Amino acid sequence: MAITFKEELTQQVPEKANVYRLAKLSASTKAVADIAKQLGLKGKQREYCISPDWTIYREGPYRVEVHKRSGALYYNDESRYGIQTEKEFELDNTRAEEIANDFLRSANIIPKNESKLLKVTHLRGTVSSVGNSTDLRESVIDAGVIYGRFVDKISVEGPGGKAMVNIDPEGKVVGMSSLWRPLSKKIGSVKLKKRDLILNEMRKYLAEIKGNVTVTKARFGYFEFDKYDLQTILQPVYTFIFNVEHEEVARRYVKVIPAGTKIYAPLKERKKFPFKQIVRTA
Amino acid sequence: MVSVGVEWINNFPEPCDQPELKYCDDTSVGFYNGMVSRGHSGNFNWGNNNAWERDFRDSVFGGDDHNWIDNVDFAHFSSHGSCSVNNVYRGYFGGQVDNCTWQSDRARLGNQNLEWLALDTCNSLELTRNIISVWHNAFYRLHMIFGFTDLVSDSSWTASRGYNFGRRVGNNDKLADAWLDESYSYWADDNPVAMAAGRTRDDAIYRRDNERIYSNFSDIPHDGISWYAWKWRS
Repeated sequence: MAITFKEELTQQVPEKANVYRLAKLSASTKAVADIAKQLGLKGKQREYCISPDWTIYREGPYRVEVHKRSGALYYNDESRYGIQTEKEFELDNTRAEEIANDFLRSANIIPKNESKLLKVTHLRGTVSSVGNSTDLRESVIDAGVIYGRFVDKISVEGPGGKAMVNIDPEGKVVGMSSLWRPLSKKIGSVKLKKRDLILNEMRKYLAEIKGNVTVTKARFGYFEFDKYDLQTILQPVYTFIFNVEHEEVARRYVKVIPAGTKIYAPLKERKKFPFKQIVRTA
Repeated sequence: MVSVGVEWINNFPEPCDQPELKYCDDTSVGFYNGMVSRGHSGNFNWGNNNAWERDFRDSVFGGDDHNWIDNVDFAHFSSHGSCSVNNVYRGYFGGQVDNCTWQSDRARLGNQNLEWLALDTCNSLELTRNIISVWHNAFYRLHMIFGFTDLVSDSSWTASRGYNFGRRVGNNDKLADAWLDESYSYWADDNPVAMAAGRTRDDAIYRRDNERIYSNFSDIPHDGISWYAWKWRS
């Protein structure tokens, strides 16, 4: 079976990288009200919804949600976010980026010195009649300006370390999301495993897989988890995203390998919702 | 309160041999737990060889969906998926009861109860195909389908999308927003799509952009559906 690398792992891997402890987070009603104020809301309403994992604040059509474990933030104007209007979307990417930059500067939610534009995406809507389903009418509903995180000029890979600002056709910011666990302090520095060593390890791993493998992303960076996962340490990794095609099916997989010669916290691919099946009879 | 049913497959032994998956339980059971944690009713949770193709096939085609997938309000399926050039979607099962694959042209969803179906598989709303041709004949009072175009990741690092989607659906968030926000991954290149049926163009767009589980939007009989609207991020 074939193994193809569509993206080569960078040659520019440093000798060492710092390891950081992440800060403890607060999603108290006061902390969420403060974030709401940073986002331009009054933050004085009393409508909160508090669940074991989230604190949610509402002010008119606006909603601010903060995840207690990760600090993940959702903000949106429910009357506009994701809603297609008759107005054509005419903002070019440069203008969308300017609006998003202004918003982030004013809100001061993510550190400017850690963020860099990754991509301007678009939420696209299509409508079509049943009788003429090849006549597709596509509209752009928003621009989603995505920022990535960089720590010590090293990119942060993984589901975390990203923010998106959503801009509607009127040029208004109608939503923002971020998963950007703040740093607390440097707790050490690790020597990094050599790129070639990791590539050999990866090739051996991929050779065991049934099907044709295409590696679409091969990256070195820090790794930030998804919001559901508790994370206390930010440390360097190598990440590989690859597709496997086998007969009529294909699937995308992810492999994360610690890059440091010392691991500060295990990167366990754990089951979040273990479930024991009963025997089902017809 | 909304009733929920999930089916998921990680293991594909003979005669239904396919590459193994690892986290379909996390995505589907996560969805189930997210909904139940918000007070909704979990009706069934079938995994691996307990998940059966027969549960999805309409009784017109000899199936038993009226007792399972079409007997809940919201169903969630995680497994392999594919969509042929002939515009037929296939969902893959690990046991042969009665077949190893379920096909979209063997479905009539909503003629019993189902209102929303999430297909956490590759190619379930595949934009390089004619998705109206793929799904129109399955919409029998079904309101919306949530799926992916192209491939989707099977990974511990992205599997909590099921729980996150279930939590937001259960909180009565807008369904399409919840699906697209929670399932989109810039990092893993996961591209979710949400599609709604409507009586008119504007009705399809309105439903796509606004439906929540407590919206009480009316069911549309199959022959009353004239338009579909879908959206995705790219």
